[in-house]
Amino acid sequence: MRFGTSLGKVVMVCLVVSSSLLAQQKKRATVSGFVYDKSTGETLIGATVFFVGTRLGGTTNNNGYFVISDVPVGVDTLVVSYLGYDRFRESIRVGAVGGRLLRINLVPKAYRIGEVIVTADSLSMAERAFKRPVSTLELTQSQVNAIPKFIEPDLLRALESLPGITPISDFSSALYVRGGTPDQNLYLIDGAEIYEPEHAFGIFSTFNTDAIKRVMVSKGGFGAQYGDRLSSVIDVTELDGNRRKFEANANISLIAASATVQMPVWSFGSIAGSFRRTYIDQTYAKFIKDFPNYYFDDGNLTGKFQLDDRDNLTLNYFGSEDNLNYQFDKSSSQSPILSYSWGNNVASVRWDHIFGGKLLSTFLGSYSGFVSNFGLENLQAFNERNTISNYTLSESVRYYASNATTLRFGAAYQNVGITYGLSTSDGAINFDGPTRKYTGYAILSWQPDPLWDLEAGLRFEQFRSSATFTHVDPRVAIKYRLSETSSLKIATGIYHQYMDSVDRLFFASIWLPAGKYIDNSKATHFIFGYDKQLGNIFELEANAYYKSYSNIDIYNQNLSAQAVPSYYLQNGNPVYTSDQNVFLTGNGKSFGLELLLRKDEGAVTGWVGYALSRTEYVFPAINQGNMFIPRQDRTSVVNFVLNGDIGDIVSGKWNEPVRKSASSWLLGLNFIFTTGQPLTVPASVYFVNTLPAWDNYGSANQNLPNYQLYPGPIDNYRLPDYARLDLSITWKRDYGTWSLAPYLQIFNLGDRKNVWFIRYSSKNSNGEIVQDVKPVYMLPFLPSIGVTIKF
Amino acid sequence: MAVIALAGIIFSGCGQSGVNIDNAPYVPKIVVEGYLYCGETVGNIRLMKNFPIGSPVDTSTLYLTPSGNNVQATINGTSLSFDPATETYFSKQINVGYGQTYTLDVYAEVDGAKLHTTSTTTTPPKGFRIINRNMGSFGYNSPLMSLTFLPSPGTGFYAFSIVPDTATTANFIYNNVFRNNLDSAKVAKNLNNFKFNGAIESGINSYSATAFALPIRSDETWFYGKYTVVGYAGDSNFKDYVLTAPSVQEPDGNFHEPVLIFKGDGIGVFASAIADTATFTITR
Repeated sequence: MRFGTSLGKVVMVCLVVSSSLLAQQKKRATVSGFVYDKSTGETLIGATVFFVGTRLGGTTNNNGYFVISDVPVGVDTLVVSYLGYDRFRESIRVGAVGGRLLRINLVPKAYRIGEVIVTADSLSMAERAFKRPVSTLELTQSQVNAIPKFIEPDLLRALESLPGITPISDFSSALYVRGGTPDQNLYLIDGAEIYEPEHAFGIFSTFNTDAIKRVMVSKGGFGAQYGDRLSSVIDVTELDGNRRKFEANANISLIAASATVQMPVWSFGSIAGSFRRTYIDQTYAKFIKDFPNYYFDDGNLTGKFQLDDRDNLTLNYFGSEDNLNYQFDKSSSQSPILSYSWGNNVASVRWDHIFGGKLLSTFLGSYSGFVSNFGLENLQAFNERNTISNYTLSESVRYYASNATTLRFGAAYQNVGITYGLSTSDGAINFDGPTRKYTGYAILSWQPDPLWDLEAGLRFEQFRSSATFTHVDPRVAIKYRLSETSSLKIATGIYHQYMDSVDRLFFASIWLPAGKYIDNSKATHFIFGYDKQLGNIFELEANAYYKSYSNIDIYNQNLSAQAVPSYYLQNGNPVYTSDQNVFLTGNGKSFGLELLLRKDEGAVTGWVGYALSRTEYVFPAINQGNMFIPRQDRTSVVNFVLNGDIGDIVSGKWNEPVRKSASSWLLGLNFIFTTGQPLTVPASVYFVNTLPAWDNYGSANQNLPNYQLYPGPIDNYRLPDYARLDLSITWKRDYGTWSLAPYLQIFNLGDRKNVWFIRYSSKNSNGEIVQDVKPVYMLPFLPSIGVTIKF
Repeated sequence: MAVIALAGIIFSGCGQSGVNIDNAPYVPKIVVEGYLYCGETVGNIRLMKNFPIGSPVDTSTLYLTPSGNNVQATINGTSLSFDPATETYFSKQINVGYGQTYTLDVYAEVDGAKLHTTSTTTTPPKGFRIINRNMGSFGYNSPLMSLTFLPSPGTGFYAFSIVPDTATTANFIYNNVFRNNLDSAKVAKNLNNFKFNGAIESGINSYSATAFALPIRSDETWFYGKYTVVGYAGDSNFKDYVLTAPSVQEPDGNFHEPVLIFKGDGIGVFASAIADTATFTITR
């Protein structure tokens, strides 16, 4: 019995010990928390969090939140790094922190008048590149503001300096992304969709860069969480606000003044607000006779509140407004008056809740509205009104199942109303297009081993208007580490779009939903990416892509002959309420290669980009059904951006760390070259009277009928190549608690005469039809000055 | 190296870029100007060629003829005859009816190329007529000038040619409400632009029992004297040509194709209409 008892004890002890050891071996914990900027309390998006000596880690999401699962219990060293911040390195007792959220504050590494400068950190560039989705770029506020600007800092113009993103002209901030049209870009501001991201006439975008925290741009292959656009996503996150102290900055330029204010709200929140207004209506218009009475303003207000350890509430409002009033003859009360107002209003409420540490839920309710009114007074009855209103409710969930597996899923309901009204003395157009959209998505991210990163997603969409469209779109992205310094990325997916816009020169686009007469559009993306870290300085990114389109739309230039009346006024004049024949429909493809060499670290930063691309369309009703190159095609685009201290640039200290300095002279260069825009030009003339009774209109002497111009092959001619070099010089002076930065911006330093469009005219000159082509140039050498004050 | 690259950037960011579009490729076409009028025989159909822009228009080769261009033209299988005096094609065997379909078929050799085209028109149904064919006399800019007409059921497009019987610098209305700084030299230079005017009613309710009123506006009358208004109830080919052929240029100088209803190598217009005429006088 004793033996038995002893044996029993030994067995018992062995069992206890072994089970305890097994338990310890199997016992793992989840580490989660937030990463903040210590100086402002702002959450940091995209910070890297990992345990030293392991592959256990992750990055912070849009809320600055991270989760690392399956961490063995015990003491380990956690490292948090973020571009431009001191590395956080601390031993933590894993297990002891189970269930408790870590709050990690990173200290900005270097200041230049309070502005964060990009410097090297402990995480390799290759690792950062690997973590980025394919064809995705991120820009911070300081990177956007460092690019030389056209009078006012402008987000969309800053994006034009990236390969694969091309502008239409100096007068437009609309973007063509990889051969796609501007209406194929999804613009999000704090999760809410925005349809007209430009101020009137398109010269400036509505995003005030002082209010921007981060911009994510996906040029293709984006995940299943995004939809309803064929080409790209531009996702703007605005500042939360400084949770530590009051902070403000103001900027005054030749045409506008802006101010941004951030402050804490008690101990649990913050507010950030910005406002910008142009004042040419109070200056130029007062003194220059024919100058239009015009201004725009925009602003935003964000409040972020930490309700408790697991709940965050974010309230956001963004608004913009344009007003134009132009009287052709200011001295005459009978003179025609052109009035044009235009504006966006976007409001959202977001509630983030953390369930247990591994499950993060985000609820978003948003409204996005756009209104434009155009009218002519004292001439003839002419009024145009265009509105869009979007109400969205969405819920998205991220579940960190393990360190290797993350599941994301969500659902959204959108109610979008579009109205367009035009009334003239000859009739009217009244279009009312209520739509509803139901979406759901699921994304599984899986890292089977440290070399592979796989993501598979499905997106369900149902769009209801005058017809119903239902699709399930697969999306797949694969990343593979070739070596410590290089990686391959592949992405493919199917994308559908249910809204198209009629783009107009100077005037607001008119959005129309898919329905009875307009089919939904479809694109399929194939993207192959390669990232390579070159030394510790440069990062090379190469992307090859192929994008096919089905049922894409082009505005029907001959709509006047093909519009179908819906009903008639009492006087018999027509009223059009249908979108029948507004668009011509066809197919197409874009393909190309992009190279980007970036230098994000050291005293001098910048990038060089090159894009080689081609877009082809086939539309049965255009070019007799033969292939043609659409107007957004640009064969070659070269970008060059350089920023840094002039002293460092001249002395060649490009790679040295940024020095803190009370006073510095900064230089910014931005160069862009693009192949010229395709254009259709007339190739021949023919002699047919416009009306049968107009005989001898063309030339009574020669008994010739009137002549008409007949275009040559579509878009067969190209305008001259576009090139432009911009320069900025800024003197920054730090006075301790406040700073001053006067700047000089020179747009188009070389005063290159880039052709915007042509004025074409022709005449019958003694029996020869002679054409006269006058180019209309874009912006010339244009210096502007301003000053930024921060305190 | 960096200096060279920078110099290249600065150099390419300078300069002036010209625009030369003289080399647009010319493609020969059969140009048709043909209208069929209900109640009349087929006549006055012109077949022509197009010309490259910037080259002299040789009027001796403008019109396509059976002898010079091996033209074979038929409508619904009936050959058209050629009148050398007017250089037009006609057929007295075809009486154009209301609501009937006619197909023009043309073979021709143009600039050494053998071309072929067809186009089909369906004539409007009976109904269109101008009610006040003698509109009367009015002072300049009178709000009372108005033409009234009854539509053809199913035809929503109506075009009106408004042309003075006499248009010279002597009877030009210099004291007009739009451009009162014109002298006789400027008027002479642009005489045809002032002379040939028109109005369009498109998409109207053609089944309306009441007559339509077409106001004659002061920007359509630049001369004193008698005017002839020719109204057309046009078929869809007529509408497509009138609304799209003169408007192929977009605001930014880009051109697009008009809607010309031809198969093969044809451009121009082959359309049908019911025509009616009215007159009015602008008194000094």
